[in-house]
Amino acid sequence: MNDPTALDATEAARRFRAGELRAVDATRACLDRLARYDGAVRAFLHVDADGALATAAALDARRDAGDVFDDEPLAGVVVALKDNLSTRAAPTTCASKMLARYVAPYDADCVTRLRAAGAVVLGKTNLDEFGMGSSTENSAFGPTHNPWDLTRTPGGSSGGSAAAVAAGFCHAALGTDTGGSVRQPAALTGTVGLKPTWGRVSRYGLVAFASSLDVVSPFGRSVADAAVLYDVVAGPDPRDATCVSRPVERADLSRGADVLRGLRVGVPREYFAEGVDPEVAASVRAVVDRMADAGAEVVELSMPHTAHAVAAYYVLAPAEASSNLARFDGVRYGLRVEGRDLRAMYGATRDAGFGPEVKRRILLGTFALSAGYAEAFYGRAQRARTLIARDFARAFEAVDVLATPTSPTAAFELGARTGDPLAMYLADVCTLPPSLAGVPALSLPSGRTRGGLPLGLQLVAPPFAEARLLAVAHGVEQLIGRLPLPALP
Amino acid sequence: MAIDVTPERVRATADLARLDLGDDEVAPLAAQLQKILDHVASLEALDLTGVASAVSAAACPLRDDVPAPWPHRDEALAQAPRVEDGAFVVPQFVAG
Repeated sequence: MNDPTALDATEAARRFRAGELRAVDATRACLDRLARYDGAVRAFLHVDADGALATAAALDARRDAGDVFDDEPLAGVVVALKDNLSTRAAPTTCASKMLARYVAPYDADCVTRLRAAGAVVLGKTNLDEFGMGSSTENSAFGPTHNPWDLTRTPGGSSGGSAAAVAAGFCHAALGTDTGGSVRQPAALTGTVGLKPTWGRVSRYGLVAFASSLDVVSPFGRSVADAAVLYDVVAGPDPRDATCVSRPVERADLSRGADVLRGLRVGVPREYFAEGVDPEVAASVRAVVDRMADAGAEVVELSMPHTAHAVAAYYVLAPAEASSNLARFDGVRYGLRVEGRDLRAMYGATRDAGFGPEVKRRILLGTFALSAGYAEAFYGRAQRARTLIARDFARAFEAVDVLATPTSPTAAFELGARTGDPLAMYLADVCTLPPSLAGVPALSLPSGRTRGGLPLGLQLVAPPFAEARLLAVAHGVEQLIGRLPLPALP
Repeated sequence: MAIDVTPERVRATADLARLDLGDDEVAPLAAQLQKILDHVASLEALDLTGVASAVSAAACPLRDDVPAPWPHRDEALAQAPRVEDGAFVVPQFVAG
């Protein structure tokens, strides 16, 4: 395999360190592929070719001088960043007209960590505006297309990062996951997406959507890639008060599928209910059977509050969004539309700057927090969230990990759900409960539909058990193999 | 709690959120919000007696509140639509 764009991040890093692949050649290959195909995929909002090539040249020069890059596990790896992660070197638009010309005065903590680990940052990727959506169609700059089938969505909201990794424009990427925004696009593009425990990765520099749910989350072509990126971005940061100080446990992937022997795998029946495509359910069941063949103990169980996650989430996340997005007022940054007085300026700026889904969620959240309704909506949803979290705590008394579908369907056609917000929200039915409970969850390819589209398996672990989650996912990957890269036209 | 999402309610909520919606935006938003809130009403089926709220400030560790200089003041001001003498400029907001 001599095409540097077809490598996973782990192999690209190994070849760079071994002197088999120059960082400039890997970066040029990614840029060439991007130039050829991103007109059709539209994964990127901003490409920093000069910056990426300069970083790569500096890495090559250090390697030529004898540097062995011991503390830089991503040296020579080409990465992309979702465009809601703040960067000094490139715009941070959040795919919103509100921030179309905004350049952050600082790097997000995860970006600083990636750069310090030797990564070559290629650019910023498309998303649903401010992370609000499940298809990347809510971008002010147009939708991203799925590299497996350009008429379909890559999922969302981190659809640009997922598509970029799937299409071979970069080796790995960062997204953000609030209710499934990394796991669902990973499932729909045949990539691996890991949402760490809430509080495990600093949110400093992540433009806030729903602060009690937002998690910076990596995409890779393999579980090992997700593990390397996770190791780099996880850890304490005093600039995020909710980022925990406990040490990060590194995943041991050396046992392969042997890690499944004696593992207790919970299969919650509510995740296979009505609305889950039979092909999806069959694919996940087939993987669980393979896990059992490899020595896992499969436990059917019930998580009775699962069905309430969509309702709870679509009160809580919009409530937090309505508060977080109050900062976009035309005063300190971003768009401003002048008005006769301050109130008129606020109203005109926000009407012109926000797209339809963002307005919908601001209204929903404002209503759920308004006088007379806050207890009936926000208060009730917060207490429902407690019951959903208890479902997980109870399940993890009996099992080590949970196995479910990631998305109830494979990638859907662009435009299929844009007229019906509730139908779009129901696409998140499998990913929302782990988000509300704050527990780590990972999506990896489980197989493909008869039509050839990727399908995803979601594995869920107890809080801060990312090392276990990654080891199990790696074991499953060893059992069932990885998907090939999609053929682009 | 069953909610009737009228155009008036959409406008009142938009006013709280400082969103000056166009007339053509209100009716479709009312219909969509109605459908979403009807789904949210399913939470009423839950027995929440004695169940505490999931998020509490006590769970959040706080560092000491120590002032520190931030070196990027000019860069931050450079992002503002209107600046004068190191301050953000806004339209008049008190009568007189």
